[in-house]
Amino acid sequence: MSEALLELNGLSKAFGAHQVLDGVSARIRPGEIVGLLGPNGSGKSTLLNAISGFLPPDAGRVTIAGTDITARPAHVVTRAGLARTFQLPNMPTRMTTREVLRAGDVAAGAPRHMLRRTGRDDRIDALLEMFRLAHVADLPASSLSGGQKKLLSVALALRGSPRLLCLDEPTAGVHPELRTEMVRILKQAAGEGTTLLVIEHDMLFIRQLCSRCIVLDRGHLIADCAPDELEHNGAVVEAYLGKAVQKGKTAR
Amino acid sequence: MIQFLFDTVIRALDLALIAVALSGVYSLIKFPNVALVQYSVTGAFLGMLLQQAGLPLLVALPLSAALVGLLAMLFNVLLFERLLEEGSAIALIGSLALSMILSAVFLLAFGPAAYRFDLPVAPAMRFMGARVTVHQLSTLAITLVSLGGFAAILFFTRLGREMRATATNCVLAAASGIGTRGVINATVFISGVLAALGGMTLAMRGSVSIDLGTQMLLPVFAAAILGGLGNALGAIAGALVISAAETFVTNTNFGPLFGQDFLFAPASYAQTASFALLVLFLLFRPAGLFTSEVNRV
Repeated sequence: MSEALLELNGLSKAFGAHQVLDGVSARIRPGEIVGLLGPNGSGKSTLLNAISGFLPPDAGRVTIAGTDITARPAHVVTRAGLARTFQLPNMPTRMTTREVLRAGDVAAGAPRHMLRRTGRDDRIDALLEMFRLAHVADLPASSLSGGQKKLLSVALALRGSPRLLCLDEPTAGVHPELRTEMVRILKQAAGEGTTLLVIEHDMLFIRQLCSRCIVLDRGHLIADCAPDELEHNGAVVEAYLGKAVQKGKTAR
Repeated sequence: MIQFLFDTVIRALDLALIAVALSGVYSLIKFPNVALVQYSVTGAFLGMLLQQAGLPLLVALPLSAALVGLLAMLFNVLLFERLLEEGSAIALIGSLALSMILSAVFLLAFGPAAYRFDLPVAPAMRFMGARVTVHQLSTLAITLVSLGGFAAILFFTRLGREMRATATNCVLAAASGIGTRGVINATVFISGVLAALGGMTLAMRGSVSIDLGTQMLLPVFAAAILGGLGNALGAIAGALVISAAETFVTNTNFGPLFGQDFLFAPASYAQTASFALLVLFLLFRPAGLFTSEVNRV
């Protein structure tokens, strides 16, 4: 097995008496697109928060390309090459869509012109085009619809060409036609060297995008297999997938 | 009229420095720090002590401001970071308590007397018909340079961009790689510096006593709220409106209204003007003079 880009070792987290993550271990290799599945409340978002530095785990270790980032502050994890989106993307209230994308380079020490209100930038224009946000580029980002905010947050995360991109339900509220487009964009990003970890409930999207899935149930890792094998996995079917497979089939 | 404008501007400058500090910190950590007015009193006393220790005024002022900035950061790390974990209401109460404690410390150290900077007495000059003192002009210079410097940091430096990003969305800022804790502490430091400078410019034109902070509390809050709490530069506009109202109340001859030759409102009524404006704004425009934010649910 080649060296893992992301390695989780016995990650645990409890909120009071509620054990949300219980000794989760996993490895993700460079260039992989991995789906993170599980029923509601299974610990997916908590796992993402623990990886990205927004929630220190109680126990366990997280490494990116061999560097220990366990419980490091979010900005340190981001500088180590991890970008993420949020399930409910709140956007800045006083910045336009274009400004939000420009500010995405703050951490990398962007040249000053990137953060000015006006002025063009080819890459940002391309991202706006790609995510069909060009017509709202100069509107306040907080005035976008829920789906558009999702698209903007994915564009923002892709903006810095991260080594590892973690997406929390990227297609929720997004038009079906754009989901197919998003699969293409994310596969292209993976082709350019970005590794992806994607939380998603849409099984069709997962099948189209991911090469591997890991499944959580009540804080335990219960499966690690290809998307097509999920429906034959007894533990997964029992925990969750009975419903989800049918949903995926009807969607097709 | 020129005199009215000038008095308004000078009064606004006192308020603006502290109100900008209050609003700037609020934009990041979402609680109004009452103790800021005591930081300005600390700055004034400290500046005076440094001057008495033999430092020239031009050294004593910035040194005192920097020390108060550090003190503000210390309080933030030791006190407010912890209190904020419990919520902004708790932090507000904590800042009120800190303000009272600082006030008590001043009373112990300095007693109730008023103190002055050791400044040469300069006769008032005439400028377009208005009376102007050298100390008023130096206040004007210090405030304009400080506010200009703050605006330059906010809009033209990396720290300023990070401050704006953190203020608009702290979580997204952290996810973009901004060290939000460091940004907040840098802003708290700047707020301490501005508040201390505000206290010192006030003391340079009059005196400083332990109740200066309490006197400033209401007009400073009113200015910050008028400007839109969290909109640092809006606080300057808020300060101008408040001081115009205060100057109007204290400088206008209300005599003719009541069939007398002269009737001036006592100076203590100035506070009434800022309080009345504050109430009106809270009722009709609680988000301040400038509302540009769009929030979609």
